[in-house]
Amino acid sequence: MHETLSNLPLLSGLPAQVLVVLAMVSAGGIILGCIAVGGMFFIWSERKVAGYIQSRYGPMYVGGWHGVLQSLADGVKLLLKEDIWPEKADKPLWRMAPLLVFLGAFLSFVVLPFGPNFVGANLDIGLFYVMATSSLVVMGVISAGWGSNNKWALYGALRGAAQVISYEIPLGLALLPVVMSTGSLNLGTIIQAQAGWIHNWHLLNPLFFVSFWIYVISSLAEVNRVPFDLPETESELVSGYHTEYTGMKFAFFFLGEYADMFVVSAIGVTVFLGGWYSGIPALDVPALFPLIFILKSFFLVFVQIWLRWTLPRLRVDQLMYVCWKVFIPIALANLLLYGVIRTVLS
Amino acid sequence: MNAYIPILLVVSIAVVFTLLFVVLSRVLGPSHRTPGKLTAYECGIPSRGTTNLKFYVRFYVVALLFLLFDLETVFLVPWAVSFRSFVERGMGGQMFVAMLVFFGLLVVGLIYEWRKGALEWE
Amino acid sequence: MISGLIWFLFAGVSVGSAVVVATSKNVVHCGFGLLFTLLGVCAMYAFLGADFLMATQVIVYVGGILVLVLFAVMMTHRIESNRLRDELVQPVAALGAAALVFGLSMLMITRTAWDEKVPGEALPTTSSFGRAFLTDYLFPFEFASVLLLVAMMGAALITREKKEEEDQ
Repeated sequence: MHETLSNLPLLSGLPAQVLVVLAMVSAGGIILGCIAVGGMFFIWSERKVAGYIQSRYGPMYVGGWHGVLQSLADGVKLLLKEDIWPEKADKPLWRMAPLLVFLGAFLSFVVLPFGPNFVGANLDIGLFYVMATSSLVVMGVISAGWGSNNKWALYGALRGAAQVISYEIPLGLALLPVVMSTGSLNLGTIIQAQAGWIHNWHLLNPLFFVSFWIYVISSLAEVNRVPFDLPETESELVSGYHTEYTGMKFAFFFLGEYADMFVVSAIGVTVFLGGWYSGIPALDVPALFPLIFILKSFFLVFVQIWLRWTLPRLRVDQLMYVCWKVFIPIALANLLLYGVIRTVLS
Repeated sequence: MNAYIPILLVVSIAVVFTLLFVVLSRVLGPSHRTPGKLTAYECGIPSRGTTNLKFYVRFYVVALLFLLFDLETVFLVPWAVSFRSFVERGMGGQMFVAMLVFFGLLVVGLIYEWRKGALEWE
Repeated sequence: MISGLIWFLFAGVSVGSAVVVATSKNVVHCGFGLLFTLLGVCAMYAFLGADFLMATQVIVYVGGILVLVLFAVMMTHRIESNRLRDELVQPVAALGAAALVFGLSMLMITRTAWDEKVPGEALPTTSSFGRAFLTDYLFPFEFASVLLLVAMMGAALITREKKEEEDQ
């Protein structure tokens, strides 16, 4: 990116190091902007979709057209709210939690490949790195639950941590057959393996198709979405681990959650749905790549929202049953089968 | 250049941004601290006893099992990455048998857990 | 110059939070101090181009072991009232042990012929791990799975004991 900047007439005289730092600062700004605007857009669309599913309108006034600016207004409202900290809270942990959760989401955002040259950090271990960042979110959740010194929050945090770590295993195992096929963890390389017509998408390979469903369902559990919203169950735990948070601190939990929804969708798109490729070679021009990638990811986010307003919630025992006794065995069998087929075919 | 330098920079920007907004909200927001507001919100009922509850031991067992399976996954990742190059060099069979031993033990472990009831959640 | 600064920043984070772990009287704070120690080490791995090791460090130590430790601490009934006690401190013995460990580590560090590597130079390491596992280090690799199997059986056993206690 700093090469592009050095071509600008205004900046051409500056030394290379300054340009690199400038490029990174602007990249950071762009990513933050994407998370903020994207998060607000998802919150708005969640409310609109919820409205239409329940035969009502959702936000209609702020911003004129269908209440598009509702989330922005809510953001300003949250900024101006009183920052209440519970007296008995463990202050350092309680303050650190929103930061950890937001950073976890933010760190995985950095590696998302919006286009061949449109990626914050092109890591060789991309997929593995994304799995690692969710550990930070787990620590944030535990920190919030313990720091709040609230029984409900602590119970939500324990559930959340147990759920996220459990589902990380089927999630990882589901991604492995694709890694075996592409021979790389780099997100860009995985996408490039799906170039050309739509039948090259990993989704349309029967074994990867199984992986895809395990991935999508496990990722719902990873981001605590319905039917896996046990850490937040508003009917039993008030609001789970972020019960005690108000104002901006709550906003960062909220934003982190929606950013995470986008991240898991984008990883699903990268690994199974052809990433930035449209599936029709004639349409694959570099200028369209980010748009295609974002649209596909939006579609998966929409599916998550749709499910939230359709499905009831699981019980804890059902949650664990599905993970350990259904997904892990299927994912292992799938992995083994793929290995056998590839070995025999060679 | 190291690919992680951009991440470091971007993370510092994120931290600064987050702290800035939290401080900004503290400055801009009102502050009327009343005793009721400062207690833990437990459905509006006065909080009783300690937060340090007794938990279902399953949570701990799940964390323990996760750690073990997580290690297995971590071992499987480099294998999966090099699988293709081994297959292309015609060594797929050999490497697959090597992996099968590892994999077989993992499956035995899972079956054992299952039979012993370590995966139940009552 | 800058790379040296970054290195010492990470080292400072690791050591600083390790001090918190050692001195804090609140067990949960110790656990979260450990989080930053581990993250500092992970950043150092990334800095040295050991990318796979970095992610493994986070996934296994932060996501696995630290969560386990914190769960254990939180589940201990009335852990809050049990501040870690200070009166057991034995400065002479502790200093002696620390000096011994330090001396041994320094001896090892200076005696070993290290592969020198330019910091910041990042090469893909994951596939070489895979290759090493399946060729030169095949036996340790398979042995690791036996070890994990034993650990799994141990975990199942713990559960069963708990269950029998509950039944009685």
